[in-house]
Amino acid sequence: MKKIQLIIFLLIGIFQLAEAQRYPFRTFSIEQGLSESVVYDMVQDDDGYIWLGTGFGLNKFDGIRFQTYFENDGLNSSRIRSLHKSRDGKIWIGSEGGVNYLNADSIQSKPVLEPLNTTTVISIFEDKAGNLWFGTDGNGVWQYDGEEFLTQYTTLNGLVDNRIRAIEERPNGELWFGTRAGITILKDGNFVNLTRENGLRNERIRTIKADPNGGVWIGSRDGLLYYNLGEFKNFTTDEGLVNNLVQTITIDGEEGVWIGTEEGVSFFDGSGFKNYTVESGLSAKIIQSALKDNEDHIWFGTYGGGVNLFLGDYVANYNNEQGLPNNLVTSFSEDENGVIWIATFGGGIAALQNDIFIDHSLNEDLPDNQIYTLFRDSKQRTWVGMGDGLAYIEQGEVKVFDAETFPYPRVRNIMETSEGVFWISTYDDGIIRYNGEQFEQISVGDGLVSNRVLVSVEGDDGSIWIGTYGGITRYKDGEFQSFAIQEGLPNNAVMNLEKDDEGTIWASTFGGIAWFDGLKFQSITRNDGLPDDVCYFIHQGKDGLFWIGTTNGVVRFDADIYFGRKKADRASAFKVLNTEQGLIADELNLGAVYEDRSGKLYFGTVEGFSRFDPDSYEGNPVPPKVHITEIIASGRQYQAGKPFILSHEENYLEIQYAGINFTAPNQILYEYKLSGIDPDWQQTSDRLVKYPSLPPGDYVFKVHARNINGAWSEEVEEVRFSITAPFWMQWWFWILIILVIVGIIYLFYNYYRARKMIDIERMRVRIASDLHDDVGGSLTEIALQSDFLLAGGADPEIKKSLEQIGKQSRKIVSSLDDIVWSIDARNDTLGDLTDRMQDYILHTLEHKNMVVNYDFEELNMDNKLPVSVKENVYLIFKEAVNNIAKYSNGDQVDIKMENDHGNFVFEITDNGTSGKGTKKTGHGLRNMDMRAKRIGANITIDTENGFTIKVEGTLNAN
Amino acid sequence: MAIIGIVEDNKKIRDLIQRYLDMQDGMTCPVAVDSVEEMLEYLDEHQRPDVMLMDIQLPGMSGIKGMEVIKSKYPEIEIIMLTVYHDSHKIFDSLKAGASGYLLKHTSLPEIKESIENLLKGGAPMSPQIARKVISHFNEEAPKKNEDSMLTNREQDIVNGLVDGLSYKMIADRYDISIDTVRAHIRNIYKKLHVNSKAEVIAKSLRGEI
Repeated sequence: MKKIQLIIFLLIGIFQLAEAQRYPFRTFSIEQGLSESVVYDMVQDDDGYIWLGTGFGLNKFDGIRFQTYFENDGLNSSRIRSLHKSRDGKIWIGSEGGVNYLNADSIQSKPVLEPLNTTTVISIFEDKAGNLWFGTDGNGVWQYDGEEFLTQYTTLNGLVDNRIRAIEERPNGELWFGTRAGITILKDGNFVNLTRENGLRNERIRTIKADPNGGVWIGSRDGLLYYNLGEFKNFTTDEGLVNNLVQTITIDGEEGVWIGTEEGVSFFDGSGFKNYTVESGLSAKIIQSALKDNEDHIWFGTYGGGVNLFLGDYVANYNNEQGLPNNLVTSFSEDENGVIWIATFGGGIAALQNDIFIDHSLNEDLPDNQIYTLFRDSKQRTWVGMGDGLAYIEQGEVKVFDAETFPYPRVRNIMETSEGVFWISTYDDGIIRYNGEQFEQISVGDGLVSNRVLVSVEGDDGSIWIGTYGGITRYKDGEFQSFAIQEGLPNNAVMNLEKDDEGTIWASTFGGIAWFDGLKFQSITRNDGLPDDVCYFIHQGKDGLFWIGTTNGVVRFDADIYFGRKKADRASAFKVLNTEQGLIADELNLGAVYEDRSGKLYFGTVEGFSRFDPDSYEGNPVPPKVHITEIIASGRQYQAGKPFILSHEENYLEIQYAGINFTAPNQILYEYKLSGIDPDWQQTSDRLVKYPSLPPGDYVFKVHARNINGAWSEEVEEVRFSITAPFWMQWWFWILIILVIVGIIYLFYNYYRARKMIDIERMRVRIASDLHDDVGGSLTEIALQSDFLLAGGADPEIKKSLEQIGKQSRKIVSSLDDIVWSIDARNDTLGDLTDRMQDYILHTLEHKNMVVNYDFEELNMDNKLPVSVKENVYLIFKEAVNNIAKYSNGDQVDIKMENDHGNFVFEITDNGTSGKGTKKTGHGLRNMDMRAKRIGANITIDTENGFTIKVEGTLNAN
Repeated sequence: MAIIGIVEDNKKIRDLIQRYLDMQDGMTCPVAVDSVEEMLEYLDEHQRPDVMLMDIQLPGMSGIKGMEVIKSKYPEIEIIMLTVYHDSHKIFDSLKAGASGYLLKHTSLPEIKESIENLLKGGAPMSPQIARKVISHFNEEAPKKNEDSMLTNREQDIVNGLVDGLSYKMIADRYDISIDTVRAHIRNIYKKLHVNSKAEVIAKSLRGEI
């Protein structure tokens, strides 16, 4: 009965829900930054960027970000109608305002093309000879030789129509122009027309594509035409084409041809059409443009829906839009007919056969529609673990265990051992063993680590591994052994267990995955490269690859690469499959993974489920092209192409780069390095790196990128720049500073020396005054006293004594005066010395009737003398004068003093003869000798002609 | 009878000189005080001395400053500096301020008496250093001063002689003049020096004499 129902439903399903699954079309439109939702043409440049011409604005797309260009940026018109890349790498832009071209991201125009400015250019093509052909909307086609000649061809020249929608060149050199009234072929310099009369089924031509084998694909308003060897072959909806209003044709190598229509896309593989519509994931019905990129993906520009990137049909998605009763998919199973059973939490069980959901009505007999788990046992029974108990389905019959026999709610997992014993994991009641006759509860009391059991698996040795919220318990030969974080688990919350093809037990936990090495668990976490730590399931596919469900998509884990058994970049051991690759959602469900007989994988998520075909998933073998997109130093932009110099104040640098890859733009890994700053390559998925406060120096920034498949970009992009040292870090500044410091030290030194000298001088003056006033005063008193007594008249004896006292006192005053004079700092100049000498001569020799000649002519009287020089020269002089006064019988004294370059000569001579030969050893002479030595001067005493004393020394001989 | 006044802060020296001079014939020394201020008070009320001996370093007003004041009020008083300073700067400064002569303190009492008598006879002492300063002083002043303040040829000769180290006697011999004439010339030089003292010029201009 139920079987018949099933078949009926199946048939209804075929008609009602044809093409029920969704394919991974990635849509970009206004929400993602596209300037307008009508995409008229697309082209990929040599740097890998996709350029999209829209009804309003030109867009440059790097996989993540759109950069837009409008009339302000140099476009003749923002209404772009056609794009074409010429072989020199330029992008030609046809718009409602004629033609512009792009050269290194800058929009240019050519004066020679100005005649086109009043027309709408709807097609552009470069032929093999290098001519550019511009097809216009009513003004014929214009030929531009790339230099200076622009020639217009219209119906007057033989064109069948002036509205040129398509231009194509065949390998034989024929140029085909598609118009609203047929095709015009330029062959050997002549226009030849192809119309209904020549067998053209429809004359309104939208697109023409020549295939390398010599055929021509023609898209018309009435189906797809194939022309070869003079014959047309027609393909319409009758042959399976999705719609007869053909808009685009894209030849996909040897695989086939993609046809964009006004009702979706058809893929023609040579024998039949596979159709993709809005229901299968296209964002709009009308396809306006198509492009095959360098990663072999097909882009469809739509009318009103932006652009759709088709990644391939390796993944098909299902949710309640396709008939899934509930989007929370928890488990899968497969019956003998190949029907996939899908457990939902809240919608019971769904069944999928040949991409169609069928309803088997079994849900009515189940006590609960919150299904946790499905399990197909060795007797072809499907066990159902529910929030409210346990059941199994056998031969279309539902058998529910009542609460008396099975009083355990929340059945999370059912496992059958090789011996036919069932182990039923429950959320709070431990694990239940069922031998076919009775249920036996095993819980914490028996040795289980936690009663919250999520999964169990049988080891090769017959041991039962039980995953719980508190770790893993191994039950073997009646013994329990538990494993938790201490035993190597990354986290005690164990979600799933899997035995791999070598018998190793793997666990997925809330903190990563782990494998059992025989003694304890070894963890693999985010630190080891695992993209996400929350792992809801782990499953090993037939090809040996592990599939790990996380909160961020499914991780494809290649253990051979990870453990170095296969030579590859270790980081490529992990690849993420998420919504970017077409997965229905990024958040997977606990244990929700299944591999069907054909090797396809089913992933249950919170938003439906995805069926994934690992065999047809190629990933992306094309390495990304990496570009440095923006350099900003303290708010100013710099070009990557040429080195630049920054001042030390502009040392906040931001560098943006982009790896162009459309398969998985968000899974590009970048490595960058700034010489002198980054010791090694730094890995990041960010497209921006910031360097705050870079020290002065020369820098090279390098970046390269790796795609999801581990293919590194062929080139390493680099930026060279320098940051100049601030003036306070330049060598000359330091020299300046040192000079200033030395100068300051010198000034201080001089200042203190001067102050010290001033202090000394002050002290000298004070001592001088004190001596003078006090001692001198007292002695003067004594002298005057004796004078006074003498004047009073007294005994001659006493008189003699009084005279003696007076004389002695005055002598002392006189000596004291000499001392005071030499100490007194106010008398330090040469002039003072000579004055005093003259004074002394006056006192001593005045009465002797001697002529005294002074020779002080050349002296600078203001020259300062060191105290010792002044004192000793004076005393030598005095000694000499005294000698003369005492002993000389001459009548003339010559006194000469010279001072030159810091040296001085003092000479005193008398013309007497009495001293000849007699005074060489006198006390006075020894005294003079000693004084001369004291100031480091030479003294020569000559008694030949009179008596001469000559002193030679230096002024600073202190 | 010559009246002598003394300004000297060393009481013992002052008393000795006063008593000694009092003992001399033809001299009387009625006043001996220890500051210029006291002397000024005395001068207001008493007969003015003919000659005054004045120390340089004094409590209160200095001797040089005091001399300017006294000379401006009583220009007829001849003042001899009595100084312990042996240095020519100070002596020259004194002369510029109007001193008629200078004596070192350790000069013996009879010599002091002799100097006073010389002064009263119209003489004045001048040493070679002072003479050199006189020359440079007049040479500097020359371009801007009037004829009166220039030295006469004879005065110039005498100063030159002094600079050459000649004694008064030798100068007198050299120019065939008497030693008293030499002294008189020197006295005149001092006077001219005095005229040239800035303080005096200022004082005179204040009195409206110039």
